Amino acid sequence: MIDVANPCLVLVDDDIEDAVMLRTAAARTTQDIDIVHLMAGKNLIHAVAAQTLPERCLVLLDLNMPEMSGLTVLEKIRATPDGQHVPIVVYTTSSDQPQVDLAYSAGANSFVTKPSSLRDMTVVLEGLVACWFKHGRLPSWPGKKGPGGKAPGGKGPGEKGHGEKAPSTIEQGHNE
Amino acid sequence: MDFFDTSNFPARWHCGNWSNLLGWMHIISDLVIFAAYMAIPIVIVAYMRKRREVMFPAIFWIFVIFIFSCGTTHLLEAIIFWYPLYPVAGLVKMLTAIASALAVLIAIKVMPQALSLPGMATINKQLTAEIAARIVSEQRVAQQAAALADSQRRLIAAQAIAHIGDWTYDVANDVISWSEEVFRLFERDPALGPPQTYAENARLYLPEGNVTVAAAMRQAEGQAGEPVTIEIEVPLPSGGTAWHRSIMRAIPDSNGKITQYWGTVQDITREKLSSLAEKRQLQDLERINQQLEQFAYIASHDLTEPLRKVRFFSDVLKEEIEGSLTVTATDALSRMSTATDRMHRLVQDLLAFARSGKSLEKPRPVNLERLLDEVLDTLSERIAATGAKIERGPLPDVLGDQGLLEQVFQNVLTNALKYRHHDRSPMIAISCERSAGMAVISIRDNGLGFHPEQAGRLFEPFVRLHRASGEDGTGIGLAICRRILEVHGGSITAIPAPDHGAIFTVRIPVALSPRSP
Repeated sequence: MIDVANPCLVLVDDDIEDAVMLRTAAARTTQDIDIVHLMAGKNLIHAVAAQTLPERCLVLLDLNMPEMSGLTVLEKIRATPDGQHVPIVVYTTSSDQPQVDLAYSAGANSFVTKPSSLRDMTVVLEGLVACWFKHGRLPSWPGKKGPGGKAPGGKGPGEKGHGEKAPSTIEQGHNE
Repeated sequence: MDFFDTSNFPARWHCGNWSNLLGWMHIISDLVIFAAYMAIPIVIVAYMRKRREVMFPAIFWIFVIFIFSCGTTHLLEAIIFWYPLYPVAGLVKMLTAIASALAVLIAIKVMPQALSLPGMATINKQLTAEIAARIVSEQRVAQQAAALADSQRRLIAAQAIAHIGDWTYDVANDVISWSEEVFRLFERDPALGPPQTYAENARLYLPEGNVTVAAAMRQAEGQAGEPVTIEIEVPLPSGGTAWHRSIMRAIPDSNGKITQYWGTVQDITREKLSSLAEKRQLQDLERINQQLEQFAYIASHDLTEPLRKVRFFSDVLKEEIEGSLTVTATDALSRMSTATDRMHRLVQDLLAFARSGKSLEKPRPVNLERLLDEVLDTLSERIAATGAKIERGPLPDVLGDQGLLEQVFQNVLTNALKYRHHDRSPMIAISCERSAGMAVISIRDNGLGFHPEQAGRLFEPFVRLHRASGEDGTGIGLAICRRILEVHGGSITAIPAPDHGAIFTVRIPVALSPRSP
C-alpha cells in the first residue's frame, strides 16, 4: 500500500503561480507527485486540527503571506497537540540567515529557498522527494486519528464542519 | 556720776583770766571746726550712697564716726565756756580716741590693697588705650561686615548669573529657606517667602518629580554628607516647563541623626532640551534607517517574486518551443533570460547591501589568519584557474563579525582575481601593520588597476569601472565592503599601485588579545 501511494506535497502559499510552477516542475521529474495547494495558513491550521491532511504528506509552507505569516502559522500549529509532529518545510523566496533561524525556532523541519529557474526547481523537487519519501519515511497519522482513521486524502467531518472554507481552497492535482 | 553735773567746775570764762578776744577766738574756731567736721561726714555719706561701688566701705564708716566725734569734741570745747560739761567732753574724747585708733588700724590693714589701686592718671591712660583699641576693633568689625555684605552680594550675583540657587531644609522644624535665585528658578514672588513646609514645597513639582525628590532624599540620608544629583522637570507658574539639576546633601548632627538637608538648584533647561532634541534626532535617524532597510528588504523580496516567475516561465517557454524558433527569436529569448538573471542578481545584491548596513550587535574577536585561510579555500578553484600567487604576512585578531569580514576579504580578493591583467598571472600580496588600535591591512594586486580619478566612485553601489571586461557582477561588492567596515568602525580605501594594479587598504579595530602580533 505504502509504496503504491505517490509522494504528496501540501503547498501552503497565497500565490497561485507558485503552485503552477511547482506542478510544472513536478511534471518534469521522473516520479508522480501529488500536490495539494492551500491558499492560506488558516486552511492548514484547520486541516491539522480536523486531521484532514493527506497521510504521509510533506507540508511546504511559504512565509510571506497576507493575513497570517508563515511563521505565525508554524507557531500556532506547533502549539497544538495534533500539530506537534506534522513535517513542515519552510519554502520561501528568502535565503536570509536570520529568517532561517527564526523558521527553525518556530518549529520548521527544514528550510528551502524557492528556486528561480525551471531546472533548479526540478532539482529541488527531486531532492525533496528523495530525502523525505524515497530514503526517508513520513508519519501516517497527519490524516488519521489513531488506528482506523480516515484514508489518505479523504475528507473528514472537520472539513465539512467548516463549510465551504477549507475544502474550496484545496485543489488536488495528480500529474500523469 | 552725773555726766551733766556742772557744779564741780567753773565755766571756762571764769577759769583763768580770759580776754574777750582770746575766749571768742577759741569759741568761734571750735564752732567753725565743728561745723566743718559735721559737713565732711555728711558729704562722705552722701557720696557713698550715690557711689555704691566704693571700695573699702568699712574705713569710710570709721572715718565718718571719727570725724563726727572729733567735731563734737570741738563743739563741747565751745560749750564748756559757759557750761562745764567735762564728763561729757571726756566721754566724747574717749570715743574719738577709739575711733581714731580704729581708723589707724584699719588704714594700716587696707594700705597695701589701697596702694595697689591704680592712680587716676594710670586709670585714664588705660581707659584711653582701651577706647582706642575698641575703636580699631569696631572699625575692623565694620570692615568685616562690609566684606561679608560684599561677598553676599557677589554670591547672589553669581547665583543669578549661573542660575544656581541654594536652599536648606530643617527636618525637625519642617522649615525651608531659599536663596534669591531659587525664587527666580521657581518663578516665585520673594515676598511670599519660600514654601512654608515640605508638603507645600512638594506642590512645586509634578507627581513623578516628587517621587524623584523623595528617592534622592532617602539616598542622601543613606550616604550622609555625600551629594546626590537629580534632574527634574518643574512646571512653572508662567506656563512653561523648566529643567532643574538639584544637588543635595543630608547633614547629620553630632549623634548622626539627619537634621538638615542642604542643596543647590540649577536651571539646565537649555542643555536638557538640546540633549533631548539630540536624542530624538538620533531616534529619528535610527527609525529612518530601519525603515530604509525594511524598504530595501521588502522591495527586493517583492521584486524577486515576479522575476522568479519571468525566469521560470521563460525557461518553460524555451523548453516547449525550442527547435521551432528562428535564430533571431532564440537570440531574443536568450537575451531576455540573461537580463532577467542580471536583474535577479541586482535585486539580491541590493538586499545584501541593505543588510550590510545593520549595526553590529556583538563584536567578537575574529582570527584573521583563519578567516583568510577559509576565504582562500573558497576561492581555491579560481586561484588555481588563474594561476594566481598569493603572498601573505601575519595578521592580528580583530574585533567584529566573522561572517561580514569574510565577505569583505572575499569581495576584495575576488575583484583582484576578476580584474586581472591578461598579460600576466595575478600576484596578490597581503600584509598588515598596526596603528593606533587598528589593523591596517593592505591588499595589493597587479591587475587592471584604475584611474586615480575613479578612486572615489569605486565604493559607490552599482558602479563598475571595467564594464568591458566581460566579467559578470553588479558593482555592489566594494560598496558592501565599505558599509561593513563602517559598521565595524573601520574603513576601506584604494589607490592605484605605482606600476600597475591596485592597493586596497582595510582598517579594522584590533581585538585586545595577547595573540595579536
